[in-house]
This record gives sequence, structure tokens and C-alpha cells, in this order.
Amino acid sequence: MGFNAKDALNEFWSSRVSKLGVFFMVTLFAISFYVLVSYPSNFGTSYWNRPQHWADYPKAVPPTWTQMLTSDKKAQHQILVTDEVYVRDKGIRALEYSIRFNYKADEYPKFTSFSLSELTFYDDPPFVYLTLERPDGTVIEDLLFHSIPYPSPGDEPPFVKYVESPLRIYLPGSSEVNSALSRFVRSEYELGLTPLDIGNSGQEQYIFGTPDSEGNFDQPLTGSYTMKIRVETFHEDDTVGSVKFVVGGTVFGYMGTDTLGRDLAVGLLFGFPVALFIGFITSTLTTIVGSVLGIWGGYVGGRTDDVIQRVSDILNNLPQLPILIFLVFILGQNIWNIILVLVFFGWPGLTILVRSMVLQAKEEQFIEASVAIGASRSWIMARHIFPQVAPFIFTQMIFYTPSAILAEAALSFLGLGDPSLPTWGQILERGFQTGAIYLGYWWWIIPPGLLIVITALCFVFIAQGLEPVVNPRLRRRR
Amino acid sequence: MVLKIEELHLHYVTMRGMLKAVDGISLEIGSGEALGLVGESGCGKTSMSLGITRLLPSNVSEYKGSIELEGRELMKLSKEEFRSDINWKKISMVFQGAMNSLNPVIRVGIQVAEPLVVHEKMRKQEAKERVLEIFERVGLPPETFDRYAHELSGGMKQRVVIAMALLLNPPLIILDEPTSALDVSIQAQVMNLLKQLKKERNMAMIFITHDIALSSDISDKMAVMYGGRIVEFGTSEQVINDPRHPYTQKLLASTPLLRSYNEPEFIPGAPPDLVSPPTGCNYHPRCHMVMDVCSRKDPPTAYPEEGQRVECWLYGEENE
Amino acid sequence: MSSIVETRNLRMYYTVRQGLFKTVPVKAVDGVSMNIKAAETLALVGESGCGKTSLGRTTLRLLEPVSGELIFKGKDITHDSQQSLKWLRRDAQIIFQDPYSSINPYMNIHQIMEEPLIIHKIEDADKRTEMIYRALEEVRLYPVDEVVRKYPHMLSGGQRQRVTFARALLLDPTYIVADEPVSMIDASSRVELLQILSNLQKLHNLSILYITHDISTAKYVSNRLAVMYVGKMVERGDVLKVIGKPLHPYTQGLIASVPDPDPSNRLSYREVIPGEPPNAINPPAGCRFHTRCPHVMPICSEKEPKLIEIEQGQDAACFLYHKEFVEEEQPGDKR
Repeated sequence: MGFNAKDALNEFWSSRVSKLGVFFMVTLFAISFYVLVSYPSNFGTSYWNRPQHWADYPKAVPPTWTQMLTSDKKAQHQILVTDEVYVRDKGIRALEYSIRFNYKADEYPKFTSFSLSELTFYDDPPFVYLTLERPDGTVIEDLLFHSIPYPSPGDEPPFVKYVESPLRIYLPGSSEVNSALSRFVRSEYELGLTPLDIGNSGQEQYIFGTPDSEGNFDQPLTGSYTMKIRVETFHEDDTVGSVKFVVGGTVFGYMGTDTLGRDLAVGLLFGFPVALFIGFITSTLTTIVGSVLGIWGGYVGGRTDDVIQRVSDILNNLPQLPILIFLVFILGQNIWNIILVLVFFGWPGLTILVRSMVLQAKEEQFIEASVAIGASRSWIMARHIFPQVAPFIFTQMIFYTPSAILAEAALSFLGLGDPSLPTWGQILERGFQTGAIYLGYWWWIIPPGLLIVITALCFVFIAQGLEPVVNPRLRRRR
Repeated sequence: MVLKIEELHLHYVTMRGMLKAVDGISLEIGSGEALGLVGESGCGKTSMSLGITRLLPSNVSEYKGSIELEGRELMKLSKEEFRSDINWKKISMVFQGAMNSLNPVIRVGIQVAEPLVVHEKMRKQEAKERVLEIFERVGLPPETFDRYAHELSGGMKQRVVIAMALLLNPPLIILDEPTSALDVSIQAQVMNLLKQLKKERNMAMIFITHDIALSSDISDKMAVMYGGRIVEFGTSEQVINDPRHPYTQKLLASTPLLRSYNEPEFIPGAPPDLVSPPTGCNYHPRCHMVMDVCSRKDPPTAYPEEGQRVECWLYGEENE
Repeated sequence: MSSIVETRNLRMYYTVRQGLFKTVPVKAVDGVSMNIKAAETLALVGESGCGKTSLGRTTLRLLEPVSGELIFKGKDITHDSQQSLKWLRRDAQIIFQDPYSSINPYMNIHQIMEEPLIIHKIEDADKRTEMIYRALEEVRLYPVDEVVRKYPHMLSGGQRQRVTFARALLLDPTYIVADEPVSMIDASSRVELLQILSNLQKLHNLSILYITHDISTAKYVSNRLAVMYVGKMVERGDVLKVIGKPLHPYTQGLIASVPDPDPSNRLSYREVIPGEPPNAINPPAGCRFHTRCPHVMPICSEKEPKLIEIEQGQDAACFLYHKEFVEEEQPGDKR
């Protein structure tokens, strides 16, 4: 016999499954590490589950790379921010911003929006004017005019607005825009369209397009645009933090977005450390509880053993999922509650297995030899029993990890996830809730599902590779 | 001559290298003769019996030599022929611990009768009669037929296993430590049974044991194995009363005697590792008579007396 | 000479399950009185299941006696709690049969040897190492500094058994139970181990209970010999006397069953004890051997013969030699 770490490692490494498992595992850890380092700690509450954060993003659009599958050039999503201000002092004091951007798509953008944040004024509220210079030299004057509302009576200057959330104006929703565009097409193309016509047929085509011979705006005008923003103020100390112009795309990012505009790539990445965390913590706790009780019950025997065995039999034979749902519902949707509940139902299986191994292990004569030299129970359990079952326990721990990940995914899928920690299961759940399947939003459903499966498989592979190391009967003859 | 083995080799591949478990063994057994194969654990005596019965483990790398049974060369037979013509019919085997391999959920009589029904196409009633007859011969009462293995004592189970080996009346039976799991008083009973069977049936036997005293209880001839080779071969009288090989001498000297006084000696050191055996004679590192040549060259075979064969430089100077 | 270990009418039963709910006692040791003197080796001989191993372990309180008395160095320890017996765990040791399973394969020799020292609070690591080296030298395991680094699987059976000898000696005990210490060792090394055991005994004035099924090795190492049959001691006495002239028919049969190397053995049948040993759950009434005894008399199945001295230094429990029997007594069956 004898246990040699080097042989064990060779044995483990000799199988293709373990190599594959280790490769996946290293990748999982690398990604998790990156996420832990680069994400803010309050990602779940302050970013992921805060709709305002995603307001500038396109809703339910597929990933950018899908445009490679079609011949059309899709509209890229562009979020253009600037705080570079030119202050005009002559005449009416104005803060002027200029945003240049390229538009290259074969279709019109999905939407356009303008935002302004951190406005401070001392007197009357400023007016905001937007003017668009297009690649063909035409200019849409005063595309948007917006007067900032007066402060509530009783407030004292300076008046500070749009700090928490910016002033956001969707151009398509604004009647000012319709009028401006109506004026623009009449003067430039001599087309008689009322603001109502413009509003009904979609403003983007008038903002970004030119009419063909029949007066249809089928083709967007590609090239370099400049958006001029003028904030006319009534006091020389008035300031603006930054302005933003969003050209809404029809594709976005690596993984697309959901109906709230959330970048799925960001959420999926965050799922890595969370899945590993849930998996490892749950399996570690389960393994500790399970093996301690298994070793204790198996070695000490008697009444203690009976109690442990009966409890584990009962827990092991209860239908788990309904009880999990019930308990999480009662205890609250908190990640620690979920872990606790999973541990509570997870240990009995291991205890039963470990106990049966201990029953065999304690018959080893060196255990009796140890008793004969006066060793205490805890000494024997720690020095002689545990090392015998340790490799097995270690493998079980790895085997249990994917179960924990899957169980958490199942709970999240049923809407019982911890809202402060987005997980793959929760992304899936949102998708189903929104009817992503019927709407054909495949990019919302397939990636989280695949990630859950791959992560679970990775642990299964590693555990499979460890199996022959732990169980010599499975060792291949060489 | 029932069995004649010449230059049998059986090597295994192990993680550490090639293991020469049987390394060129020759012996012969006449009809009705019992050959005692004596050696310490790991000397290759069990591999030897596996080699004769072709029950080879999967990691065998070399299996060659000549085994002639009643004039028929067994090494030329295909696996299938060997299994159908030789196993149980010509050579049967009682393994160490075979009594623990009885199926616990089948009545022992049925287990014993099974080969008769399956291979010999015997009718069930006929097979049962035959089994009961053999049971009587090995001293088992007829009701044993309907018992389960756990209802029998160790001695009775061993008798069942012996009955199985006798069933097809083979000319040769190989017994590998058949009594080592039994108590002394039961061991003596089984030995008496074997003696009786040998006399009544004129059966040739190979009796494998590590206990030279027990071997002397049945063997007409003895072969002493050490490190994969037979170092001494002769009649029991020659081997016990006039051992020639230093190992045989020391092995006898290390046996505590019950009926006379001796001061047992021991052989220093441990048996050789057959993956990397010593050069020359395998025994030379432990030998009390070691000479210069022993570590350099394999020992010659000497024939000090009619029927006696020793592999030792003490008797083979002429070959140098 | 004073007794180191003494038992008086000691009984040790263990229970086996029979059927679903019933448990029945197996009378492994059923009223045995014996003593082992200082620096003496008592060989305990018998077949498997006769209770010799149970008796050996009961003298160490590794098994719990049901009734009777167990006296160690003049102190009655029959009912002492395990916690209060730590001194016994130091003063009395056991050597097991199988050197392959009696030491932990995951530990190296140094760790294996160190275990008893740590348990018995020898704190100084240098002192522990020194004690380990001395003990290994005493069992001739050279070179010691190489041996201590090895793992059990790197040693031969004989070498491992020497490790267990050395470990038993570490704490300088007065009493050792050696349970078939050489039966799994190759013939050529067996004698060497027995020599080491004898030398150690002389060196340390050990009292040894040598448990074996092999009378011929018992003859070699022991001063006195005791024969057990189904939980009872049937004969005991000076080893050469018992082997030279066994009194009890069981001892006679046992000795006749063992061959010496002799080519004439094969020419005759061996005198054997017929039948098989009875079950210790339900042993025969009277003398337990009467079902197999060639000299059985009517009284044998009615009364149980007492173990009394027949000849100088040789006791036997057999009605062939005396008429004294054990008074009917029902030991309080606690289970």
C-alpha cells in the first residue's frame, strides 16, 4: 500500500478528463479573479439591478458579432460623453459642447437620447439647444430645445440638479424634435411633412437620412456628424458637469442586452466568481459537516451514531426541492440563507458514505494498536481515521460543488435567488419571465445555461480524474 | 510420467519492471506421485501453479517452456482447447482460500454438480448421484448437498472444494496451500483425506506449501523453490534427510521441531526481489557457504544422487 | 516469584446478532484462571475461536470482562475506567499478528514510533528521537537513520514486525501480549524474530503472553504452556513437560496433528481429533471436549472437570486423572 503524492498526481494527470477539467477550472478561476479585481463590490445592487444605470443602453439587442452573420451593417451603439466646454461670454452667456461621431450602419439607429448631468444655476434656469451638423453639410438647427424647469419655490440658489440621475431626453419622444425636423425637411428638401407625420414615421430617419427621388428616407447618411449642444445661462457662475448623446444601436457588446438594456456580458462575467463562491463554500461546509459527523458517528458508534444516522436518513429521503423553496421563502432570499439550506440538505449523503468507510477503516489493526498504546478517540480519528478517508472526502467535495451550483441555479430560476448577487440562474430566470424564448432572445437564454453546464462539468471532470487516484481498484493497468 | 515440465518461464510486467516469477523450471511427476513444492512467499510457487493450469493474470509478458501431460504437449493447445480438454478434466486445482469462493446463495451440491451438467451434459439426477458419491469419499455427509456455504465449517468447505477438484477424476490435482486457512486439527484431517485419495485413486498431486514439515506429510518427491527456480529436487528422503543445497539445509534448520530438541537457526536477510534479482545464484547474498563464483555466474545443475538435482556451485565445479 | 498478570475465573462474552432483533452471547473466555510471573513467557495455544486472543486482549482491558477478576501487578483493574488506565497502556503492550495491517501505511517509521511517545507526553523531541533509535537498534533494524525515514510498504514483513516490537518496547513495559507475532512471517525469518523476542525479554525482564496456534514455536520461546479449548483452559504446565507428555486428550491430539519434517510421515495416517470444534455460543455441557474425545466417559457430559495439578508443574482439566469438578454456578448473565 502506501500513498505517494507523486504517483497520485501522475495517475490523475494521465487521464484526458482531468486535463480537460483542470483547463476549464484554471479558466474559471482566471475569469473570477479578473471579475473580483475589476468589479465594484456593490455591483449587484448599485449597477446590475438598478435600471437607471442601463438607461443609455439598447434594450434586448443581440451581440455585436451577430452582424457577421448578415450582410447588413447593423447600427453600433454609441454613447458619447463630453465635459469639454467652451464658454461664450459675448451676448448671452452660453456653455457650448461639441460631440463628433461617425455613423456607418445600413440602418437607422434604434433610438437617440440626450442627457445632461450635474447642473448648477443661480438665477433663472438655463435653456438647452441641440444642433446637428450632418456629413453632407446640412445642419438641423435647434433639433431640440429644452428649458430646465424652475426650482421649487423656497429653494435658495445655487440650485443643483441632475446629480443622482441625469436629465435624459429621448429624442423620439419629444415634440420639439418633431417640429424642428418638420422645419428642417421643408427648408432643405422642400418636403411638406407636419410634425405629426414626423412623429408617426420615426424621427431617426429624418435625423440621419436623406430622401431619395421619391421622397423616401430609406438610406441613412453615413459619415461624420457633429452634435452641438448649447446651454444658455442667466448667471455667470452656472455650470454643467457633462453632456451625453446616445445613438442607440441594434446590436450591443459581446453578449447583447436584456429588456432592461443590461449588458449581459457584464452580468455573465459576474456569474463566474459567484458560482464558484457558492459552489466552494457550500461544498466545503457540507463536506466539513458531513465528514465530521460521518467520522464521529462511524468511529464512536452507539447512540450517537444511531441519532446521526436516523437524522441523515430522514433528511436524505425528504424531497429536497420543495423544502428548499419553502425554507428560502421563509428565511429570505439571501445568499447565506441559500448556502445554509443547501448545506443542511447536503451533508447526510456524505455522512452515510463516510460512516460506512469509517466502519471499515476502524477495523484496521493499527487502530486497535493505537488504542492499546492509550490513544484517545480524537487522536485516533484525527491521525488514523481521517487520513484514510481524506482522499475520498476531497473527491466528494469536488463532486458536490456542481450540485451546489446547480441547486443555486434552480433556486434562482424559481425566483428565489439573492437579488444583490446576480447569478446565471437569475439571468435565466429574468429571461424566462420576460418571455425571451417566445421573443427569440436566444442570447439571453443560451449563454447562462451553457455556463452553468460547463462549470458543473468542469468539476465532474476533475472528480472523475481523481476517482482512480482515490479508488485504487479503478486504476488502469500499465 | 504424468507431468513433465521443461524450462517453464513465466514473467510479469509490473510498474517497477519485469518480474521473473518462474524462471526456467523443470520437474516431472509420475502417476500416483505427490510432489511437494516448498518455498517462501514470493518464490514463485503460486505462479508456477498458475502457469501449469494456464490461469494467467493479464500482465504476463512471457510464458514459454514445455508442459507435457500424459505425453501431450499443453503449450501447443489453444486457450479454448485447454479450457475444454484440460481444465478440471485433466488438471484440477484447489487454491488457497478457495473455500471462501463458494457462492453463498447457491446450495453447495448444486455448485459442485454444475460442471457435470453444463460441460458433461449429464442428467441432473445422474450428476447428483455422482456428487454424493464424491462427497462420501471426501467424508462429507449426504445432507451437505443441500447446505449453503455459510452453514458449513471451514474444514467442510475445504472438503467441498476438494470434492469439486476430484469430480472429473483428473490424473493430476494441484493443491496450493490447501490447509493454510484451517486449524491444526482440521489440517491433519484434510491431510489424511489427501493421503487416502492418493492411495485409492492413484492420483498425481502437486502440493504447494511454505511449510516443509507439512509437505513431508504427503510428498513422495520434493522441489524446493527459491527466487523463481527449483534449487533442489529429489525424493522426500533425499531432500529432508540429506539436503544438499545450503538453502534447503537452512530451511530445515529453521523449522522448530516438536518431537526432538533443536536450536532453530535463521537465514539472515530477505528473499530476493524478483524484479532486480542478484547476479549469479539468487541465494548467494544469504548463503552461509557462499563462494566467489556464486555472485558471478548462474549455478550449474548437479546430480549428487540418482533422482536428486541441485542447483549449486558446491556440487558443480567441473562446469567452471 | 510474583505474578505480573493474574486472572481469576475471568469471563469475556461478546454478542452476535442472530436474526433481526435477537443477540446472543458468545462465551469467548468462559472462566479462566491463570497467572503470568515476572520475566516469564506463557504460551497460550489453541485453535481459532478457542478464545486465546480474546483472553489476551481482556488481560489488557482492550476487551471488557463480564465477570471474574483481572489483577495487574497486584492491583485489581477489572472495573477501572478506560480513562484511569492510561498507566496500563504504558506498562502493557500488544504485538499483533499481521505486520501489514498493524502499522499505519500512511506514516513513516519515525511517525509510527513517535506516536506512543507523544500520547504518553514525552515532550522533548530530541529525547523521543533518541528513544526511537535505541528501540530500533534493539530489534536490529539497521541502519536506523535510514529506516526511520521509510514507509511501511518499503519494508519486508519481518522488518515491519520488528518495528512493532520496537514500538511495543519504547515505553519500557513490563507485560506484552504477543498475538501470533510470527505466523505471517516467512519460515526463514521467523526464527530470527523469535530470537529477538527472547532476547528482548531477557534484556527488559518482560512478562510475555505468547498467543499462537503453533505449538512448535511455543516450545521455542516459552517457559510455560497453556492450552485452551472453547473458552476454557484445559491444560497448562512447564512447556517441555506438556509437549513431552501431554495429559489432556485434546493436547495429545493437537500435538499429534502437527508434523515434523520427516519423509516417513507420508507412509502412515496421522492420529487426528475427529470432528470439529463446537460453537462457543452453545458449548457442550460438562467437559467441552467430550464430543470429540476418544476417552469419553459418562461423567464427561455431566460435570465440568476442574483444572488441577496432576503432576509437578502440570495441570489438566480431565476426569481421566481426577474426579474434581467445577461447582454448578450460574454467572450472572448480564446481557
